[in-house]
Amino acid sequence: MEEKLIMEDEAIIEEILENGLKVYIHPKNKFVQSLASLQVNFGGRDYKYQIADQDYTLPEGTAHFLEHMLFENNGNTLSDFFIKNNADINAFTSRRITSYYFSTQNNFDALLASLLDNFIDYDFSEKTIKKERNIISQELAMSDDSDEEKAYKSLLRLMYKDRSIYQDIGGSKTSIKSINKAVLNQAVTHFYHPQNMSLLITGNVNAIKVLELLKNHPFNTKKWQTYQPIKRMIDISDKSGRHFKKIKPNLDTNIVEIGVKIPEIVFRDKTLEHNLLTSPFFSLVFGNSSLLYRILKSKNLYNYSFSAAPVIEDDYGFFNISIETKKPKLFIKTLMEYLTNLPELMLDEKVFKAYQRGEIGRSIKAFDDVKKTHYLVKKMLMDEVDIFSFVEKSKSIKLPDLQIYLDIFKKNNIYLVEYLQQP
Amino acid sequence: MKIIKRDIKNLNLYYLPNKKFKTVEIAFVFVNKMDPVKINERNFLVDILLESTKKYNNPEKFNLVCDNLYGLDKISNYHTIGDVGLTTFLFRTVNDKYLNQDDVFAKTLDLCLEVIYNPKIHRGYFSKKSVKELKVQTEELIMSIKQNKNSYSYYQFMNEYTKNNQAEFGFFPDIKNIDKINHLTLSSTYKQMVTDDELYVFIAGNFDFQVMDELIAEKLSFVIERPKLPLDFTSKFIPNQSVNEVIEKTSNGQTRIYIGYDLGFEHSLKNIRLMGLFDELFGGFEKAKLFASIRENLNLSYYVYSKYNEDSNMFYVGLETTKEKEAVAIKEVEKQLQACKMGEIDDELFNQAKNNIINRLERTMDSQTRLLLSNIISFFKYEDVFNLEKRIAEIQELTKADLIDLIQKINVDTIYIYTSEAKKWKKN
Repeated sequence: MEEKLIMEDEAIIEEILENGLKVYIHPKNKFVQSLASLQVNFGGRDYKYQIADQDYTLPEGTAHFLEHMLFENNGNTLSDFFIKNNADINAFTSRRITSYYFSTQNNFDALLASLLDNFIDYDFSEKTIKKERNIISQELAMSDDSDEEKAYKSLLRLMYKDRSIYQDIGGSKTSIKSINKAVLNQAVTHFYHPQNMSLLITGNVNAIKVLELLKNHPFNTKKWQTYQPIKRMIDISDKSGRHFKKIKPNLDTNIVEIGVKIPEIVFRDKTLEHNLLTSPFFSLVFGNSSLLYRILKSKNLYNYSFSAAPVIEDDYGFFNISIETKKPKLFIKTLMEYLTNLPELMLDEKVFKAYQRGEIGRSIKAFDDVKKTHYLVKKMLMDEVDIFSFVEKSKSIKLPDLQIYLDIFKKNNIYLVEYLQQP
Repeated sequence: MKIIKRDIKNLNLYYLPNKKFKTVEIAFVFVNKMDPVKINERNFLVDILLESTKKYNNPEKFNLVCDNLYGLDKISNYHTIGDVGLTTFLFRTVNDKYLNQDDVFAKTLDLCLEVIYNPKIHRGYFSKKSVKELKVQTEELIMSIKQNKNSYSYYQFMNEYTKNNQAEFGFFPDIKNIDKINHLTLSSTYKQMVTDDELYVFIAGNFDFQVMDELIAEKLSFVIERPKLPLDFTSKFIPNQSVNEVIEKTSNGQTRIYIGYDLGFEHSLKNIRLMGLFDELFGGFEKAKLFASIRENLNLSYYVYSKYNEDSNMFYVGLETTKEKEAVAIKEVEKQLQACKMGEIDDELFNQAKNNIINRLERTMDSQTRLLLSNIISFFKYEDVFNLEKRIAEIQELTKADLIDLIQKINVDTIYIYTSEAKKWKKN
């Protein structure tokens, strides 16, 4: 059992079980709650992959469908035991992972054992598959009339050829029709192996007891087949255009989405830790202390819907700026001028120093909240960030380290989507 | 957690000592008798004051000083309960004990006072430009609400549900009064807030009382005592005479359905607790009546929930379904309510709902901000502290018989259907 500090007063125990499961335990014993989440490296993108040089496919939306099915595995309803113990349990599927998580004030060990019981053997009934298909169809239809989502998807389509980046994580009504028992079994065989999972525990727990439980649990003692690593392929090149405009008669306001792609050569540079560097960069260039904020305010272009955020996945990354506005032309003109002038911008040392000081406070506050801590560490694990060096590395970032991003703001790297009201 | 009144000059100053957290939080709460025509101004104020001050006269300078105070968190809102308006400014900073600096809280307090008492105004008025900016932003917000079909349908439903009560509930943005706001009305509302409202200051965290007393006495010496306002926190919902059915057919997606109820019972503490329990077992979690029938048995909807607002004593159900299934879904909600009225609530569900509420209350203890806000509300509404043991006992004492008796008084008031085409729907 190895305990490592991530910052003062905060230690995480890291262990790899015999079955290959990576376990992280972060005791925070002054809090009432404990949280656990089991991550499976199986997400919406995994409908085409390779194992031992052999190509495999799954219907789009299989990971999300399986997430629903895991609540009805082996004829049991997973949530029953949790509800009886007054615990909350839920799950989500993202492009990269499926995460099953619970929080509780009592009986943590029994609940953790119950969660893992569900990931040893799999048996799904046809009746449940049919039921979940109906429910998922409803879920997929929920965003049918969201123009904001359509505009964002249009931006992704413009920037990337690869469907796995812009297709719906849940698949489509058509694709989920072909999800059956055989498909689900293929998915669990290939992806639901402990070596392809990680477990994070945060809160009021006894780490030694929990590790003992995990080691003796059938999930660990079961004789698993040798894990076959999954190989994923992605093409992060774009299509041909960089501008997409759509006039829609039923829009109430105009939507503008801008994407600035991190070029492949920069993105794949192993010396750059984008998850570390893009946050301070964004704060300086797009935050409330930035020149952009002042410009948007002075031209009455800023409103509550304005958002600017880096999107950093493990296989692609870009900067996203979006707004719903009555003045799309002026907004686009202003933004384009600002973005294309960024390579000449001198980053402000004073603002950067204040940001770093702010980050010290924000870290202390984040770790002062058991839920926030759990989500923060989980995000770091999902982003494959080294949680033990994260805080120290963040402190050591220097202003010139961010310069690399300024240079990517070039016309041929900027993508624009406009959803405009019918005049 | 205790609330301790401090006798410092004429201040309404309260400490909430707590050694569990690494932050100190200070809340300034201005209490006024809610003026329904000033809802927009009050909401504008909580935004504009946190944008800049006279000393830090633009957002860049202001954000810079906040970051330099170790990322000072600022939360502000205007909230109405009954005929009372609460304008709250909450600042959250890292406790000096966890920093290599011993004046962060003192500097934070200076900034809080700068934000509230020294705003960027000229000769007593906010600038026309900054007010126009906020108006434009609000107009754009209204457009964004309209564009987002979930927000839009909820907003439309609430307009219908509260159509006899618009003045009492103070929803923002108040579209009908938006044109009336200008730099003069905003400035006079600000003056009213700082001179006429009752001010309460709450400080939570691990600090030395004496040191804090001295600091507060020095920094807030200018605050003068105001007469105590008569406050009425009870909701006076005026229902419709007959069910108000509204079908809006502009959707190009799934149907959103909201059903609002008239709770024909007294807005008393016991009834609030009972209704909170009913809300949980009716549509609050995945074993609740609505979820079990509408999602799990009938697969009519991905989500269905009920929501009880104890401040306004309003209760509604929300769900999304296909247009073909909307009538069945509405019927099923009614069927489940009638079943509950007939006493069809099994013990397991009843006890589970109680446990869920108790668990949520216990979790409040894990967040200093939630604890502070719960205490502020308890303090004003019940002149009491947020006492976990007492709250749990109140929940445990609730009986099924009392609950069934109470829900007999619940009746449908408003049904709002946001759909793609006019559907003839017949009420049973």
